[in-house]
Amino acid sequence: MNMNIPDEQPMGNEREQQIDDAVARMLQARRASLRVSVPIDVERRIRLALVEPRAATPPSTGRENVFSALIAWFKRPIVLIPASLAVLAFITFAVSQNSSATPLDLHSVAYANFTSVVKGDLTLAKNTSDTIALRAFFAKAGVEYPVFFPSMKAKLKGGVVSNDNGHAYAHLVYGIGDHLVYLFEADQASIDSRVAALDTVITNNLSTGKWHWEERPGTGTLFVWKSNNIVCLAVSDLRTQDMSALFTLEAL
Amino acid sequence: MAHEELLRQEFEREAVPHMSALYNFALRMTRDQDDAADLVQETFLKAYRFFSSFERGTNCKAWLFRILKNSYINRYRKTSKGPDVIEYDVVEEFFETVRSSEIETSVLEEQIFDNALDDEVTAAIQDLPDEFRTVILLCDIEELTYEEIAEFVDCPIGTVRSRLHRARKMLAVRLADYAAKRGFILPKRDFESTEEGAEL
Repeated sequence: MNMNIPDEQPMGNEREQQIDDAVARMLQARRASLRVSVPIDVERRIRLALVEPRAATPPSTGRENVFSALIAWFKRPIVLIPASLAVLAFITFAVSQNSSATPLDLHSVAYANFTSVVKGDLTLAKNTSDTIALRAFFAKAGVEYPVFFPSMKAKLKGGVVSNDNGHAYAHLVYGIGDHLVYLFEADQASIDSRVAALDTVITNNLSTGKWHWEERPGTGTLFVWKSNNIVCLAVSDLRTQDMSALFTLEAL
Repeated sequence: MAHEELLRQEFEREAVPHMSALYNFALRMTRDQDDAADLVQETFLKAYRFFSSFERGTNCKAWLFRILKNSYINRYRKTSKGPDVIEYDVVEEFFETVRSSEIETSVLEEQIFDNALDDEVTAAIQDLPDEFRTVILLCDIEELTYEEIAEFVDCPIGTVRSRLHRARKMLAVRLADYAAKRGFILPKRDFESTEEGAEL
């Protein structure tokens, strides 16, 4: 019911008043259908920004425009190619000088990557639900372990490969409705060789055959399990109960 | 830490449920999904930062809309990207010339509006000049009071009523046009010239 019933109309004509009332009634009756809901990814982005307001990237500003201009200048081939070569040379030098890099923290990286997927900063390199095509893609991109595809009640959207400390890792993204499930897989060998590291609590759980669940309000739910020699870290915006319903015991 | 958490929970309870309303309004005003998303994010971050200054017991939605308005002005009105500023006099003069008799009330009420498609209504709202669209959205869609709208648009309540009345009239004319284009009704000038149309 509209509370804004005018006590006087700017125009006294009865017909004008009838038209005015009719339009108001029509709009009020269609309120729900005329509203556009905030897209789920935008809502997620805002909620994440609220959880970590200081870390949140503010929307574009004048300063950002200067930054964008700088990036645009950098993207010019005459600048980009020598710069890329210089960066590559520096990385090669750094790696050769320091072979004992800090192990990749799988736990925090899984959360961070999920946030990046939600924000759109981390996009899929291979968009397909075809596991054979994805296996070929991962192998070609340097992933040396057999990637595990858990069957779950969510649609496989695709995968992407990251390279950390000279080791290639497979990442998968599943979707169900408006929700995402991000899956980060690492082989036990990379943990054993200290290229990657896993939180002690999680390690203990896995070593005793348990699954590990944890929820970070506003960020996501993490589910870690081990399949053969692959450690799987799944993060989703679903609550534990809803997320666990996606997985079947046999699938794990 | 505990205080911060309580504040966050209160914000979650009071402000976050209005996210869609703000996004809807931002989208209608900016006409761009990315701009609307940025605007809403900026609004919520500001609101969260200053939530302790929000006067409890007042309308949180109206408070959020005021923050959004300031952000909107800062971000868009100062750039050429912003919507065109309309000339009130021109618009008012034009719509004062639209005689109400050109819209048959009974047909309009019972048939035109009932049969108007949501897309047509949305398009008609989108076509409204900025200031008229604002009052329609805030009043008829978001249910803000005249006082809250007056504060939002920084005008006297009488002006809000006047704009609202004209905005609804513009919508009525536009919806009648859509109905005529679909052959649902004949434009007034046509049904004046035929016996059949005159009965409509």
